[in-house]
Amino acid sequence: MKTEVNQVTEQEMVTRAKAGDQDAFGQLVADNQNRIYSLAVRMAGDREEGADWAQEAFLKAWQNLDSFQGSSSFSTWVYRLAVNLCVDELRRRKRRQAVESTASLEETPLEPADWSQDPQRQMEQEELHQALERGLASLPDHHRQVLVLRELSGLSYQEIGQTLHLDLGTVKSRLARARLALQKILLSDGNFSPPLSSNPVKKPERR
Amino acid sequence: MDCTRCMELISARLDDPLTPEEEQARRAHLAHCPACRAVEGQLAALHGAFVELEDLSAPDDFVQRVLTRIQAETRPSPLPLRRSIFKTWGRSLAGLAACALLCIGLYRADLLPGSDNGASTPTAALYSMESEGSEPMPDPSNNVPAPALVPEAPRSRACEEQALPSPAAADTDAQETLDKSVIYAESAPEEYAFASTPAPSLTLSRLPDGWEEILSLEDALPARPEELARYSVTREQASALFALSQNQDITASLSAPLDTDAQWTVILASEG
Repeated sequence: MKTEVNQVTEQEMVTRAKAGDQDAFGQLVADNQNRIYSLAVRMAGDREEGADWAQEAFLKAWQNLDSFQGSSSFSTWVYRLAVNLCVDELRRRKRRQAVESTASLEETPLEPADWSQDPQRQMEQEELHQALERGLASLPDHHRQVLVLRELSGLSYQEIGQTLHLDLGTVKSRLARARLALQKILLSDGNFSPPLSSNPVKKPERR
Repeated sequence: MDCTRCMELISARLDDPLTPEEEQARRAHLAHCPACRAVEGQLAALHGAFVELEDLSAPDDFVQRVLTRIQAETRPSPLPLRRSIFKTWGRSLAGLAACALLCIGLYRADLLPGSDNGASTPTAALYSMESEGSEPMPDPSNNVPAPALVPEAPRSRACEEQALPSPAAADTDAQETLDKSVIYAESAPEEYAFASTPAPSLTLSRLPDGWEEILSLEDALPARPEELARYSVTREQASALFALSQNQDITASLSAPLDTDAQWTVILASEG
């Protein structure tokens, strides 16, 4: 949550950084590093690679500082830049890997996993979060990507479609499959014991 | 409605409200499908857990690593030797031929007979400039009898890919002087032409056909008033766009050689 003071400080740092002050830019990096690092690690599914991508994002921000006009906050701008960079990196990764047939990409069946195998034990919040991170990391790129953009970055379906060049229908179905895939992973992880009732949950805060 | 369709609705409902029709269909299906009911609960719990996920902590040295990379980008580094010579000579030839000739004089002075150190490297670089279509350098071997000046390296790209030969010089002084000459060659043209180092740019009058394969609209940056558009791209993308535009007779101009390994900017500006 940004306070007035933080906004003024950020503006000041941006002005100085634009003038070439690398220390001021360092301050901007420090203020945004955790958010960007988190995004990149989760998109990459790997800490090392995520750290690389996060660095790249800030480097790119530095190189393109003169095109930052201040219509949004620097935080928003660099976050968006990082999202695009991570998406591009995943595209590149996909091109480098052996090409899957288009058919197999959407093959993940949509039928529910065997619900009767839900373990009944209670689970600590922290364990769930860790299981969630593990599960995310073990998803295939195309599933992890939509989940991160929707659940962690708070992008709307439309924004996801624009970012990934997918139509709305594909975004919807891919998200559904991704969630089911994640659920399957967590069930087999053996640590996942969610309540059976469906509770309304609040939407993640828009970044 | 089957489970497949219901799954989609269950997922969509986590993000946005369903239409009344969809809501009704979902309820009707869930009434007789315990499997989907169970999954709905699990997905809702997952969704809730995401909200609670906190930011990971960046490594302690993260800021420092970023700053180090920034410094490496904005200041030309004297290493690797052959590559920086190549780039420097390219820039010199483009705008500062006199300075380049002076530097050649320094090289030749240091490479007088007796030293047979890695002279193939700078000389090969000089010769490789020829193959780039720039003005050929005066042939150093005309004036200096040292056999070391006969270029052994193949031209241009192959030259860069060669492993840097370890200097065979018995004379370490010659090697050290060689290094200083490189730094001299580095700093002089850099000072004049490049006070700061903006991203190298490719300016086009329009995007060539086939650009969609190369460029993603997410690369778009805010454009300046006099520009039609502006994109941030990799060197590979810039090269590909440049090649396409050459084939299609589209006016293109480069602010730096295409082998400049950095983030590039593609600018769309109307001709003239």
